[in-house]
Amino acid sequence: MSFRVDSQDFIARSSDALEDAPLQSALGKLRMGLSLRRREAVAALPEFEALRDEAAALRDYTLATLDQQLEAFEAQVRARGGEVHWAPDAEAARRIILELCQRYGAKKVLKGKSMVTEELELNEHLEAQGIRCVETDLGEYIVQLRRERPSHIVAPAIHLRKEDVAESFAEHHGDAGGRDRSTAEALMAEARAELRAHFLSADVGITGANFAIAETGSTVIVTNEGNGDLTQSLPKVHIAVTGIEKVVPTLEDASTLLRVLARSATGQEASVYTTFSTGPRRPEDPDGPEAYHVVLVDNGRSAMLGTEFEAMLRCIRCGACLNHCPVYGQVGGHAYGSVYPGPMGAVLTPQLAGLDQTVHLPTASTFCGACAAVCPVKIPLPTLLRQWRQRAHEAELGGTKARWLLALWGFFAARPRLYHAGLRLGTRVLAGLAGPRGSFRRLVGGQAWTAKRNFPAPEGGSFIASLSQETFSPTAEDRSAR
Amino acid sequence: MRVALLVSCLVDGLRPSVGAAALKLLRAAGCTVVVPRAQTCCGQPAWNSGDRATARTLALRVLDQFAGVDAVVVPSGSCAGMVHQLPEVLGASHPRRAEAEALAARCYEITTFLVEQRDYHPGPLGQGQTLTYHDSCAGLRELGVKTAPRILLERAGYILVEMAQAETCCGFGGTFCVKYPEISVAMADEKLASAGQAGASLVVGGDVGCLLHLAGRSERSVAPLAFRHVLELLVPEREQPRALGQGTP
Amino acid sequence: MTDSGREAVLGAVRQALARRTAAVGPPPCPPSHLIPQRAQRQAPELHALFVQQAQAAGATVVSVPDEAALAQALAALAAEHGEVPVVAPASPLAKLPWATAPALRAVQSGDALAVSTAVAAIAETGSVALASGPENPVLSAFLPEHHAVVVPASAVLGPSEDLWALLREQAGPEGLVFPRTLHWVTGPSRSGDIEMTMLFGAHGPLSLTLFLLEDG
Ligand code: SF4
Repeated sequence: MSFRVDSQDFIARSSDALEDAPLQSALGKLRMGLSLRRREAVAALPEFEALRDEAAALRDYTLATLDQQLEAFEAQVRARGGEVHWAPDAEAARRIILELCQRYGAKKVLKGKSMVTEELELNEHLEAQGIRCVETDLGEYIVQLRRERPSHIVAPAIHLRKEDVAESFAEHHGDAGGRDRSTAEALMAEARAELRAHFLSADVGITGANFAIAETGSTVIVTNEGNGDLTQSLPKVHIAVTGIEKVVPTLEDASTLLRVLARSATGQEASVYTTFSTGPRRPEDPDGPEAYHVVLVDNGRSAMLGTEFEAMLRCIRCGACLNHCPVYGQVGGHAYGSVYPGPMGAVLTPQLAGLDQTVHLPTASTFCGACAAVCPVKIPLPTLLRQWRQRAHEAELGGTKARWLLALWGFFAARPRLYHAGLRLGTRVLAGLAGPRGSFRRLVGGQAWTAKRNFPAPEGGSFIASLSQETFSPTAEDRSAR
Repeated sequence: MRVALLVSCLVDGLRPSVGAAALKLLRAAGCTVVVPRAQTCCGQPAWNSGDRATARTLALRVLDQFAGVDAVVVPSGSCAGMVHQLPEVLGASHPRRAEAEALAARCYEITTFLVEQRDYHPGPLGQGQTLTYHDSCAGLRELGVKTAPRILLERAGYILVEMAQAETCCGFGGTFCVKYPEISVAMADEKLASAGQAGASLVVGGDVGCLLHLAGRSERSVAPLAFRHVLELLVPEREQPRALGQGTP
Repeated sequence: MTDSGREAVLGAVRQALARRTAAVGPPPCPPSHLIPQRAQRQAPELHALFVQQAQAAGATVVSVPDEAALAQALAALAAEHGEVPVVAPASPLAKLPWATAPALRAVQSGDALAVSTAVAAIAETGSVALASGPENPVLSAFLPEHHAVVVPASAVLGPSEDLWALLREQAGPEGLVFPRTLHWVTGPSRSGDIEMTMLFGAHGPLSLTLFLLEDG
């Protein structure tokens, strides 16, 4: 499979992230900021919980009828003068998009923010063929200049400070006239001016799609900056690239999903620009693209349909599960080594890249459930992570020591006498060793716990062992009282 | 009402006085209590590690031991949450699935049971002592345990101050805490900072696992806090064990 | 190539759906569409909601009693930046009783103010809906430094579903008549990409002014 991951190093990368003070301050802002905004937006809409149920049911219905929805979508796009292209895998998708760019003689391509094209590593591919790609979303633009990957599916540059951005701008934009780069305002104004020049000189605009509407053949993008609209309106060709699961049957269905999307993503009641694109410009239109193409990407998605992972295809990429994940909140997106980080990424990435490369991702979760509690389409993320753990266990992918310990413990737990005798003895010994100090700073074989934590000593003895016989088999009197 | 106490392996081995408190409180709330002797563990470590076969073996043992009572009560949101998952552990077509569903339906986390099923009022014990409450994830999100422990503590006279991050995971997460100790500890630090900011020196929770992890980390800091299971505070002071987090190794 | 891709993708989907039906049975019914209470108000509460929501999203809302007042207000807004408003030649706004003539041409990057007309306003979110066409070039909403939108008061709807209902009413024999681009614009352009500081005027206009035109 051609999906690039560096997830084997999760532990090393997360250690680095925890030591990275600027990253930690950026993540601190994320943890506080976005979850608070979401909470306020949800509190302002009494129907929000009911809408989550609707949104989940709607996604399930769509997935269950996916072939019909896709065909209807295709027919509508064609009827309105657009073209639809089907890509079974990443390689096919890259080839289709390259051929389209070549067909129109493109030298420069604008990109609206799109996670699917990140998944495809489209920029690298097009650039290798001599086509310049310019990311136009501010966050994407910044990470592109830095040759990094996005660290968040909604806020790609969330891991950076404004000083980092200033440094990248100085390197790439030059220092004409000693520009002020001390504030976020100044930096944004600078990016706006730089990107305007690109907007006016590009041949093709590539966007993603938050939804594809079967009823009208429209693709929908949801943005705050307006870059996506310039990307798809100024060049003479608009290519929308999206996963096959993004289709929805009707306009009303899009309305329902839009209600939960913005609130979950950024805590806004609505994003600034919600744009429905349908076919190329009409003959009488003064602007807009002359050609409109939709690339429908499968790349492992159909393989999830009808399996225990199907619910993951409901995902609308709002990023709420990242914003509320305490693990993501500590280590940031890059630690995951995948363009899809956090809980949703920990489910998706093994599917895209293979479990053997990514076994840490489903494991690195406390199953706290914060992700599932906020997911607007109610994906049971911990359950799906557990299913990956089961597959990893079956394939013997986990660490052998952990497996061995688990087996040992399972052996004793199924033999209560042995278990309780061992427990009584072990806890007594530990309690005795600890004595009045009450805690251990070191334990033989317990380094993983004690490196940074003390181990509070057991009280000594076991509860079960301390009980009198009556407690186990209640008296006749107790029985009659029932 | 005849109830069975599922004591949980951490309470059984590391904090038996929580088990004793559970027994006492259930009796005080008018229950006839049995403690099945052959109980060991609900199988959660296996289930969460992807070892379905072991989890199933242990699930069947739980079904055997906890049959024939009106309610199964657990002094741990995490283990009670696991019992609620036993039907899933067995799978849709398992012959004992219905039994597992019935067991899940009558299994309660203990504070919820005491408040909602027994309307239990503990005696005045708190004497205005100030504390903050850590919501353990499984209890909170799988079972909705939120108000019950607070109601009991307030009925007993304790003063509750909420911390901003009461609902954020502390980083224990079962085997997570030893598989990813650095992340686990970073999460604990955030929780401890939040508890510190709330201005209470005592942190109370409903799961011994979280408390051991937080206490062990707190002991390495300059100003360690004290930690207790909620049940410890609902029995007289002389029956309380030493608070966690006060060790001096 | 493309056609073999189509067969491959649809084939894989169909195979998966057969697997799905075997496992969980036929697909569920399509869900109903819940519309929040707040969007189900009638005028004048609906107008109040629209104004409140649009302002909360960072737009300025100005009520104007008639076309003369509208022309005057638009000219005044452009004059703040030392220019005249840019209006599409085919726009009905070209025929307003202008005291000073607006620039009747396509918008260009750097223009101070361009004016669009809305087909509808969505009170639920404080959005205006713009349909592209000769009267409403897409770029008027994105290229100028500031953007103004004229909304007839009678076009204020509750939820976006009412807009779809309107389009369905107007549907011809070929089905829905849909513009190349339909925009819902909710406040001025913004970005929070640098340190999560929300700033206006990312790529699109720095400000959005909505003129609510009383049309009796
Ligand atoms: S899994 Fe849910 S919360 Fe996470 S990005 Fe997808 S839709 Fe949003």
